[in-house]
Amino acid sequence: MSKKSFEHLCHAVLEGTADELELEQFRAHLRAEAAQRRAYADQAQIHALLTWQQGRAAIPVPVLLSPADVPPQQKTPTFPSRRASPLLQAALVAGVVLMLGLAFWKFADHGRKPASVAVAKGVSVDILASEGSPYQVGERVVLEKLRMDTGSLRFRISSGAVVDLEGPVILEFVNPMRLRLLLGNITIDVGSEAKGFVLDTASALLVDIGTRFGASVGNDGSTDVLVLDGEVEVYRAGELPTQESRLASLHEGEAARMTNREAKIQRLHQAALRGDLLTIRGLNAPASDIVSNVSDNIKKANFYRCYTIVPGGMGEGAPASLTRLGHNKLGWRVMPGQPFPVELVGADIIGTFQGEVIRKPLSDINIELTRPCAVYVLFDSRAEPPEWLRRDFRDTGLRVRSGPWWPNLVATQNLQPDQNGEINIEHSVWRKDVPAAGTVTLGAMTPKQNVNPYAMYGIAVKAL
Amino acid sequence: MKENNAVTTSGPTPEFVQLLTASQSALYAFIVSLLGGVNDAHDVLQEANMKLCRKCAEYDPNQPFLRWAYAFARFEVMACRKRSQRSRLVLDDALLETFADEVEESSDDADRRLKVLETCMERMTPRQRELIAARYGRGEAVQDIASRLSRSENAMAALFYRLRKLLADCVQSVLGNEVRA
Repeated sequence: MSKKSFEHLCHAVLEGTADELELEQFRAHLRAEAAQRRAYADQAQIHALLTWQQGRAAIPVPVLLSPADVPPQQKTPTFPSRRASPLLQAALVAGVVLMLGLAFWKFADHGRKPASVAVAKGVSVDILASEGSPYQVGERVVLEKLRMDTGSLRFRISSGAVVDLEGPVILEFVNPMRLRLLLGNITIDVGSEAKGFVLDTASALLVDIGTRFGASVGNDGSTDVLVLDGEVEVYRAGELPTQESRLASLHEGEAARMTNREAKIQRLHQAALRGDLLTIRGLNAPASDIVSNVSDNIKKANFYRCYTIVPGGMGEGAPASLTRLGHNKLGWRVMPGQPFPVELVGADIIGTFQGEVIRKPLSDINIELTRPCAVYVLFDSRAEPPEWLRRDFRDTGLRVRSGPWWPNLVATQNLQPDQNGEINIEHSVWRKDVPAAGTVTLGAMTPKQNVNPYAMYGIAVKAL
Repeated sequence: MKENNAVTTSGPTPEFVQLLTASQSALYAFIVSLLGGVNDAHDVLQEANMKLCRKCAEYDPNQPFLRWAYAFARFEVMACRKRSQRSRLVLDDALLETFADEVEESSDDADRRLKVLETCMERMTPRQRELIAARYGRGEAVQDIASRLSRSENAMAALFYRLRKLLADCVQSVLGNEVRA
């Protein structure tokens, strides 16, 4: 038998595709040569460890089974006998094995064959919206693993969490409070019922402690996470979710990337959103057709603020920014009695930071354009336009508002609520035409060392 | 190994559970190699875990845990073969005994082997890592990967064999260097 055919047989055996004749050939080969038994042992071991590792990377055994899970006993190095009632012993053994079993079930390639010992079989979900998926709205289905190449799906899990998916995506349903994302993008709204919801990926363990976040797993196994509302705790994959393994606690408007489970957590500068549902559009994918990147030069530890991009989303009520303070999301609004400026409608919106950051000089913002574009800066009308804005942009005369704001902010302390009881801030619309692909740099609201008492400017981009 | 149904005299201690937890990947790999694939391996592992917990009082902590646990795993593999009415047996009984003896001889730090495997994967090219991620991370079938990449199934099978060999050689090399150091 040639070396090549042994390789073929070995592979077929491990993949479960070898027929009886091939199995007999394979056995004959193992009987004849110790070297090929070693080769098979190596192949089987790596095959098994890779299967194990890829699962363990997402859901470590210690998460489900730790010494704390076992009833306390006297701690001795020699594992002394300790009599207990047979019932208690049986329960204890069953508990330990059940936990090991549950852990393993999540590690294994259970798409091939379901486990047989005390294992949950899928998770019940109600389909809320479906486009190009095999499921119908209103249908209740039990899912173990979902693979969707195209289309979108929205469903509610029995735990109450609402999930939005957009193909391509591969998702495993561990239990009603735990999903495992293998590839693609997911947005999860845990509401108030499913706090503590866990999303596992190969490079991170995300615990949603309320209420809405998006995550994306790329082909390289990296994980991006963006908090849309509330707070998410990020832990190192493969470790217990403890204070030591916690990488970051992210709040709304903050985003981070883990390239693998050993790597340091990184700030993610930008994330694309679907403005209508406030779901992520794929953090690893290009943000839009015309904006390829948004970045700044902020160098600050534990800083995770993220620029959001809503491609083509500009219009009345479009999201202006994700905020951190738990208030309503800021949106772009018409001026009273006026239509929304046609010139801006359909532009890509780049959400900037609000909150305490705006009271400090913000570093330059770099926007990389893929083609000729008009870049708009929506500037707080009350503020003195900085030199860079007056030099590079022209005031279009158009005005929009951002809101609703909340009182007790430096930026809103002198503003009165409108007839609806809401506080809005007026913005002048400045425009710069960029004739070719390249990088546009926007400066700070105010000169360095000055405190900024105004709203941070907004950004919109439209192809020429 | 003959199963003993004697009453267990103690439940598993935290130390025992730690040893058992740390050995899961090695036990799984051992079972997969004896079964000739991952089918049934998780069931067998759970059965072995059950027996190990019941017999935890019999474990002598001065002995290597993994070698002791392998004996239970081997017994459960044999039991599984009987249950499955000997259909699609990759190894016959004699071959299984020989093979298991050889594998048990080479038992080492299971957790360390898994960590070294991760290190070795980092040394692979992005394309190699992507193939591993597709097959083992996302659970794609080899024929699907071959189809997606416009390669023949045989060529892809050979490629995966080489990738596993590459990783096995790397793991062996790193562990060997550690022992020498």
